[in-house]
Amino acid sequence: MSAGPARVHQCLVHDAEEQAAAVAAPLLRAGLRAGEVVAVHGSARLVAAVAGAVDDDRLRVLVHEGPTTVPAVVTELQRYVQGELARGARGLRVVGEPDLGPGPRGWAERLRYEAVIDHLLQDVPVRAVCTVDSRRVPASAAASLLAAHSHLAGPRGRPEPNPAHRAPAELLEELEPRTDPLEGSAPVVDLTGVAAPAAARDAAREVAMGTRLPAGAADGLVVAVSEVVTNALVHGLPPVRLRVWADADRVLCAVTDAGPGHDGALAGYRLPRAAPLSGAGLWAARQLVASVRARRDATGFTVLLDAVRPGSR
Amino acid sequence: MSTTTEGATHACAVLISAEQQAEVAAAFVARQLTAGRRVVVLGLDAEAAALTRRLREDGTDASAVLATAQLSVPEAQESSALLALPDDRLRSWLTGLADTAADDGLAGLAVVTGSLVPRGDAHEASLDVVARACGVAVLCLYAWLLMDAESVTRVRAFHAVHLDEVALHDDGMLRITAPGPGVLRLAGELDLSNRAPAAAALQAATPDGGHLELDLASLRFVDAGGAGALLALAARPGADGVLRVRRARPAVLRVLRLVDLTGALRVVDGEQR
Repeated sequence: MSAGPARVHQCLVHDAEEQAAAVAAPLLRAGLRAGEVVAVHGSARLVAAVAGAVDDDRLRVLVHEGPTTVPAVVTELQRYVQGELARGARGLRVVGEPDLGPGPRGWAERLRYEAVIDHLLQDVPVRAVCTVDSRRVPASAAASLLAAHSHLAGPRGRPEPNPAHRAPAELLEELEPRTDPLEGSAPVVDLTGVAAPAAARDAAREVAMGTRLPAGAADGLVVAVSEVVTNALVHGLPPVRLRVWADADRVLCAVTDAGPGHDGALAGYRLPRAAPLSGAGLWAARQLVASVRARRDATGFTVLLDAVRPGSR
Repeated sequence: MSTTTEGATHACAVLISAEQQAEVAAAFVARQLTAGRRVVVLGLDAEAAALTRRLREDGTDASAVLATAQLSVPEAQESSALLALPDDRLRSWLTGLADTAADDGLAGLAVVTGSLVPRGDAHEASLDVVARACGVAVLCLYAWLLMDAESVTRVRAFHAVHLDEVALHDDGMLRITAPGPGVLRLAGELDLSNRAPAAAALQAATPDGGHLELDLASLRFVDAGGAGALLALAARPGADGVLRVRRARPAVLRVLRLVDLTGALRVVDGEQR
């Protein structure tokens, strides 16, 4: 049997790849002994250090091939896990970290990633040991990242409950402003009583055509608007309202309905069920636009979709 | 029975959707262009763009033939003025046009009229005369929704050739046809509004699990649920677990790839059947 409990999200703060590898190696070797799939992802230095410390050719190296956005990376990992479980894996241990970009923006994305992973790990037999390099992440950001993990990595990688652990929904709520400055101006489109997704698509497409959004981003926004309006029509309560704002480099859409909505910040990250497909709408929207935010207020439940020209911010 | 390739023909199509209009008109125009005739399109107005788009999707570069004036699409105002001409003037105008086409070295003249509602027996009769006397191919388009049963019957009786074919599915937003064995073509948009009936039509059109390809050249939008319904065809009884698609637009292909969680999608553009 495995040496520790499965379904654990550990944080491993280090200041050298070799140090991280030394802490994680016993835990990874135990996973291999237990017949689990063991994998590493991260920088070339981290991968090399872990490979050297584990010294077993059953260690897998995960290379992220899709776009390095949180929804894309989270999807990629879920597909990997699902594939391994379908092939008969008893469990998985994954050590390392995705590269979500440098600077404060990268740290914020990393925090979003860790909060989402913390949420999703609740019901899969996966142990994730996430490395945080204290040389690259300032102390304040590292403290936030730490709070997104249910466990710490003790001696020999042993999982220890994290006293500073915070609910992922709470972390995400703090991370993502619920309103957008563009909402302060008059929308260029304001449709109330939207009865079919096509009307919303046409309106969003027309606005996007008048901006510098490249075709791919505009197409993505059109699909995302369609999905969110579809959700509002199917799961929400009428009237469904679409507002669209734009500046030269981005288009913001707000879809509001009178229903109670979903669990906002955490919804739409879980891989949809395949064959027959279900639960794909919000998940698809997250893959296709720069951000998906949700809020509940006196006017109802609102989903904000933001399409941005790459490189404009 | 069709005399289309001979030139002198007076065909009609009573249409139930914009997609069907684009399909029927584009097929007629492409055939006439291939036969070397000049083609004049009257009365489609705003939908003329849908015709040239469909021509392109079907492999005819409309801009090239527009540039050489082998295809001519007069502006809406001019076009409706021409269609409103008294019958004798319309007849002489078309006769002159047929002569000009011959002078230009073309094989003849073809005309598409998109008046959509019948303009009366005399109008039809004069087009009939032009078709016979000058060897002109005429296609008259009518909108089923704008006509009562009696005028549909009357209009059909006037035309020797009927080019409106029944689709597997046409809800006004999405049209599904079977252009060849094992091929289904989707034209329009697939989303929440029509997913259930469209999926049922697709399943019904492919009962035996034989070879199936989806031609998506004219599918202009699909949402995640619609893409899921298409991918579900790969798992229909007797199928091999693969969904073959061709000519999908980038935005459509992106959604299909996104929701293809089981690896069922195969893009077969350029593959020999």
